[in-house]
Amino acid sequence: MIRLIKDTNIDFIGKRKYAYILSAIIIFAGIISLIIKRGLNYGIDFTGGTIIHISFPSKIETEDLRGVIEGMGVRGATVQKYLEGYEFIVKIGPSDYPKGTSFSADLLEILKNKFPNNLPEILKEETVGPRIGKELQRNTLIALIIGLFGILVYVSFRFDFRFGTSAVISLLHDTLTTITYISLFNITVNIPVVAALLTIIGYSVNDSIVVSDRVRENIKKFRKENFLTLLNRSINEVLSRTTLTSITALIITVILAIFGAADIRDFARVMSFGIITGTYSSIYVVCAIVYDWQQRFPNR
Amino acid sequence: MKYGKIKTGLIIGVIILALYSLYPTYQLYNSIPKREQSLRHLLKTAGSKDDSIRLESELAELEAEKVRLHKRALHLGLDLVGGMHLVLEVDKSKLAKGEVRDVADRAQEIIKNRIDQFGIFEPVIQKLSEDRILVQLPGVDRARAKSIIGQTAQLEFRLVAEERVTAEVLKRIDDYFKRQAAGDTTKERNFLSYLIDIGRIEQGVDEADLPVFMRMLKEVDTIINPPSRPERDQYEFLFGPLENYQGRRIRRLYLLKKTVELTGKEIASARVDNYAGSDVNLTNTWIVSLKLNREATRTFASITGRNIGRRLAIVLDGTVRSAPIIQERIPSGEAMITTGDVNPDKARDLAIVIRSGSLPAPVFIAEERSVGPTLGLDAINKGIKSAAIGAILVIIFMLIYYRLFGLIADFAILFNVLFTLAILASLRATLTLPGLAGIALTIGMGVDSNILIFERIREELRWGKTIRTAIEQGFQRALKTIIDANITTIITAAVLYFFGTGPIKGFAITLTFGLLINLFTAVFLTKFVADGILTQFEFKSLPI
Repeated sequence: MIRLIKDTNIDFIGKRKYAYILSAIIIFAGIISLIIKRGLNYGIDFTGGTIIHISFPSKIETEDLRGVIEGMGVRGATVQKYLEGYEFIVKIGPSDYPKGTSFSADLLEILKNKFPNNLPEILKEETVGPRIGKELQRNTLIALIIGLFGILVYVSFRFDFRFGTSAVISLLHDTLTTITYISLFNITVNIPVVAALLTIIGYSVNDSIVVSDRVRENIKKFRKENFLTLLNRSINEVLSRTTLTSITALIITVILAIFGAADIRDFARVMSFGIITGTYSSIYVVCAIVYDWQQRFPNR
Repeated sequence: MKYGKIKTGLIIGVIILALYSLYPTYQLYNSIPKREQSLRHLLKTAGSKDDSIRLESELAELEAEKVRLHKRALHLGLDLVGGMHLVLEVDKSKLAKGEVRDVADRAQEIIKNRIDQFGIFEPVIQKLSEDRILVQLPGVDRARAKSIIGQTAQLEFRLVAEERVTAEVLKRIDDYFKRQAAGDTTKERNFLSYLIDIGRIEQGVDEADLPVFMRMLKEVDTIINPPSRPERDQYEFLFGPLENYQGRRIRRLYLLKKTVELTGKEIASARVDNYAGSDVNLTNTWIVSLKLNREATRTFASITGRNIGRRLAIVLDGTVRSAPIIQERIPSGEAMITTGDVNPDKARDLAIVIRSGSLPAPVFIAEERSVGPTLGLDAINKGIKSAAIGAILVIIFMLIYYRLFGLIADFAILFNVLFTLAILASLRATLTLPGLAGIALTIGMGVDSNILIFERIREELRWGKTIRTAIEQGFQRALKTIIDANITTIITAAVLYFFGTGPIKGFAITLTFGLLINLFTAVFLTKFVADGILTQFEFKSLPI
């Protein structure tokens, strides 16, 4: 049989100092990034506005398109090249165009008149009015809170106090590192990205459960063993399974991130990072915290 | 192994059920389109007329079959099929207090009416709240649909002011502005300079000048209607639609009486017709021919009788669509709206909108997520391709890493996906693009259950247990952990289902069901097959 991870005996807990430092650096980088970029790059799902994905049969200059849009009285539009000269992504803010009129229909009309031999097609169009944008913000926040709450309730049933709290801390750790990733790579935060975040929160606890189950089993088996050795043993024993699980899930998310369509790509990128950080935190963060806790406040 | 036969029977039964519930989907998206294609090809090269007729009727039958199947097949989301998703909000600002409550119901009725006339397959029109309506239209011409749905369609018949009255009012306004300008001769304050003469009696204003012109009109409201004048003699300036005139884009200017003689409510029918009048510019164009109800026909006859020589304007949503001269008394209660278009679409859409009645209040688009058919197809392809590639990689991985047991796990995961899709089909749930991602993720996360079991088995073997014991222990220990490991993901998926928007709901459903079914396939199915293989073959060392 093939074994990627043969009987290892890595001193995870002994080297935990490096893990703490690494985590701290990542989270710190995230905070700096958030401050410099003034928050996250929120998509129209939350800010409101209109995004149009428009495609032309023959080449057109970005400046021409921009000129037409400005001629419609829209000041703050962004025109992005999607496919050089042929496809563009136009984004306007929620109050850039009068309510009750169709920006896309008017744009098409004007383009038809100005460039009659280059009739474009609107591939995709999304509009989120300001009221709905606010509601989506609210609902997303509620979803995150309830999701977290649900996990917390479950964790309190399933784990003992110390492991439970450590699992929660590792969960928060994963959320923060993922936000760092989102901020550093300027990923547009739309509803699929939040869905990825929520899924990661659920997924991150999985590995923590497997590790803590093994620790409990080993405590019963090796009563005499030193706690540090016991923790290391437990981690090394489940290491094989933990890494393999991440690999299979990662295969899927990475393929989706490469070959998927737009929305799915952002979702998959965040999921990929979340899987990595989730595994890392389950291996390291949970046990490291339990160990240090035990050192400070011995009870067993 | 007493229950061996029963178990086998049950499992085969479930598989057959799943295949049965998915068969309509296969027919709808695969076998029938293929037959259609070959039939169409035959039709092109058909020999005799009889053959053509036969082929055409077969094609028609297939169409009907597709409609029937649609009810039992997997429902594809708008992001895969292409179409329009709109949330309309009713603008309640101008309504009387009593009307506010059922305005969404009435608007929904009317919109439903219009969409029915437009003829769209499987539309969704739903009231979401007191002022919101959801409209989902698959595979539709979005621009036309939006204009049909969004048009308030308030129709009014009003008399146009006599020529001399119009000239007088225009002069008075011009004088006012000249006084205002006090010698400043810039265009800004030269009111009459904005007017372009059209023919003998009409005027128009250039599109570019409209904003300034309209502002000027607002300023002189009291000049148009001096306070001393009674209500029924008051006038109002309105414009015609944008049109081309001598190389410019203009809108015609009309001075109308404010009194509404007849409204859209009085119209009994609206039909699309060819223009058959005397205006040479309008030959070959399409019109909407209106017929008033009996009451209104009488009123109409008396109005036309009393106002021969004057013009009667037909105003739709504040724009003057036509203003023909009343040549004679019209007893038939018939009128027409010209579109000036050789394409019948505008006339058709106008007729639809007039027939359905006007919306009680204007609606605007609060949210839209529309996907064109090109992108929809692209999304399907990318979605299926990436899910398939990912799945194949995972399957190969399991095969290499766990050999025979990897193969068993692979079958388990394939059945997992099969059952998930079957449940989706029988629940008539909608498969969206994120839903496909959810299925892919189920595969990636689902194999975890088997990995847990197999790693445990390997461990037991390393600790020297017998093959049989190792397997029993492996499965037994793992079950609790598997349930645990998947529950938290299921919890968050459930939250996503309740709070997520359409496509994300699709993701939440596929992931949740995928993982729940995984509990069955990864544990029971795999164990069952493993036991079966063990009883058949003797193994010295376990191929795991």
